[in-house]
Amino acid sequence: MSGGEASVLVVEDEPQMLRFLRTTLVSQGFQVLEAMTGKDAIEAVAFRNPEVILLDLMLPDMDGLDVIRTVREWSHTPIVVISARGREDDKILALDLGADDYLTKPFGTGELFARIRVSLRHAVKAASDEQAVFVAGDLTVDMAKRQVTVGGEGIHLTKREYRLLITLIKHADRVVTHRQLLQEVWGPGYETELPYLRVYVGQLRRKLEPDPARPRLLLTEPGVGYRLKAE
Amino acid sequence: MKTRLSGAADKPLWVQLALGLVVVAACTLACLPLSTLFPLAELVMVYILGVMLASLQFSRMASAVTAVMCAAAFDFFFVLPRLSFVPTDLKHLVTVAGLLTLGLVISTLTARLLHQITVVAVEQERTRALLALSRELARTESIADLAAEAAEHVGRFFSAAAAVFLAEDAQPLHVLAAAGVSRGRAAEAQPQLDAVNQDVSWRELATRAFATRQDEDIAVVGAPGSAAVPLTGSRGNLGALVVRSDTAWTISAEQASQLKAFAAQTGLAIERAQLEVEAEQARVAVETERLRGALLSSVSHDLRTPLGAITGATSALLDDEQLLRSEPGRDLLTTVYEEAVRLNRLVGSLLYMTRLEAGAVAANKEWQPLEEVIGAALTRRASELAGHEVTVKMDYALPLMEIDSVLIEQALGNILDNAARHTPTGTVIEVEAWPLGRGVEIRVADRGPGLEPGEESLVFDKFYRGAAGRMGGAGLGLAVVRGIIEVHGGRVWAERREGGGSVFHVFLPIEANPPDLALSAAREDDLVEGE
Repeated sequence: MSGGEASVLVVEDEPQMLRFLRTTLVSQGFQVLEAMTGKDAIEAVAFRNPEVILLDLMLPDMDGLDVIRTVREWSHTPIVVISARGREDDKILALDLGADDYLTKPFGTGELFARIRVSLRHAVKAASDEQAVFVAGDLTVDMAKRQVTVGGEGIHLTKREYRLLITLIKHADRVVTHRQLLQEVWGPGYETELPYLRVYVGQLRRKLEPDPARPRLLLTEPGVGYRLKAE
Repeated sequence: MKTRLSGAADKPLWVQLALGLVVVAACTLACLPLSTLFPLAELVMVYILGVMLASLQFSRMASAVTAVMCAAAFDFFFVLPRLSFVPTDLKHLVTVAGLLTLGLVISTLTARLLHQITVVAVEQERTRALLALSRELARTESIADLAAEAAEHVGRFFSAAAAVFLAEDAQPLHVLAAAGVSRGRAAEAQPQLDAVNQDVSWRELATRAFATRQDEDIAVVGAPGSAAVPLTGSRGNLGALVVRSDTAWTISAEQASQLKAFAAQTGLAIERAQLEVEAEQARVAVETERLRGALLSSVSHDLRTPLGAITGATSALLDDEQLLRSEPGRDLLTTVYEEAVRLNRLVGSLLYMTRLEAGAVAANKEWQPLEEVIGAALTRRASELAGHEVTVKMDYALPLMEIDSVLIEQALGNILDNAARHTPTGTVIEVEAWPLGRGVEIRVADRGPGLEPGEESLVFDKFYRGAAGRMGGAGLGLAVVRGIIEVHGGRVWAERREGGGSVFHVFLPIEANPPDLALSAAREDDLVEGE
């Protein structure tokens, strides 16, 4: 793919990691801005207007979570967090603070470009109108008619299953935390009712996936949330 | 405290004397109609019978008095002249004197016999109690159980409350077990301990007993109704045994020696258990040291091998610009990538292992469908499993499980990864999950070379590598699996599979009742038009 001169702010204090990200992003046609501290990152967002932010949570001067908190006070620029496995709590916090997605170290370039691409697309889409028909593989959802079909066949969904699906579609290809889903589908006060969500995702999978035990559409991000795979 | 054969001997003396009077009266009444038919010598027999009965029942004093009273009554009522103590005939005087002597001798002999029987019975009971305690102690292993057993036995023997105090390296003198302290909840240990802890006098008694030297011969007697002795061991006092009664009981010399016998036995048993604990700790220390050595050599080897490959391949690529674009160059790059992935896996396993062993992994358990966790494990290991055909069979009506999804996903992933790496490409890996008792069993079956006999449990040991070769593993993956499953109170085991290959079983228990939410949530949720 080509970055098409989109500017990416890379916030990373480890030189090797920074070099890897710079090299691969530049080779794909992105314009790369760099920051090695949280303070520099916030300044760069304010004055250089990047289109996507890649943010490592481990920074020398401040907590990456605080960078998200500060940036989100005045900017909607997509933030993709870079974090290590086993730090699920950090990821959830980052996402609930307003980060758009995360990458787990170590990651390959395929994953990196996919996350950036999705973030850019969502940023554009947020500005334009909501799409009326969503298609991913065999699944087609017509939001205007509230129709769900898999391979051309109509599928019965309960109201709540439908709302869950629509919420995931709205964030297509991005991770949505359990908390966000519970809040958007069940409403405030249900944030801790995780088993509800899991049972409904299971039901939805059985209706939409050919092999619910090996989902290709409604992916689980263990300990964090769910991701609807559209690409 | 108990054990007398006779019934009335415990009653006050005046009651016994009154009863003695009744015996005399009964003998006299019995003799009245007989006195006309039989000579005096025969009537004497009735009184002798009365004295015998009395001496069996009464204390020595009371039975002697009864014997005197019998002689007096015989003299008064039957020896001529009647209703007078002074006999006219010398022959009758001899009869009365004979009755008196016989009565006194009988009462004395009976009392002595009874006393001996009592002594033997008490002795027997003490021996039995000691034997019972030593049998229980021999059967018990942990120090806490030993103490509980001793408190229970001693309390029961003295019909009182008893507590065992122990002083250990880590803790000064503290109560370890108690029995009979708080009434009505004898089965629960904690209220007993709490009751002892709340009452300072228990500790005071124990402290005083603990401070006595071993050769000091007497049980410490505290306030009335209590007694304490040190628990002696070969290396000094281990603690103290305290007995307390609600009554104003004072310990007798026999009871004191019994208490000491109990204490000696308990002390011996506790010391034995302490020595075993120490030996076990020493063994663990040696084992830990050995493992640390194995860890270091294994880790340094397993870290260096992929690093060596990466360094070699990349330096070759850097040295020769043409190589990068050639087929061998791509092979080198593939090697670098694969070795990096392997390093990442190893570091991950090491981290998990360290955290599991340090007890730092607290399972963040939540109710969830197992299929989701199995699905996540399959998805995340998709690239590792790409060369195999994976089939999944499970009961979609499986109950919700209270598990940590991240940990279980890791455990299942490691089993799948293990299966993928140890079986030939193209073979089938079968994943199944079914309810089993109060839990769910997950099975991962492969058609690889299978386990060697005896290898079934070894594979879960740290740094164990199959006889078939290293296959790039550090012998940590399955150890992590076992650690994770044990954190969930479950079990993991492996078997050789009929027809070749191996089967890995994971059993996860359901300990609490799952929330009943599917139904209640569905009711408020109507169907939406789908056509």
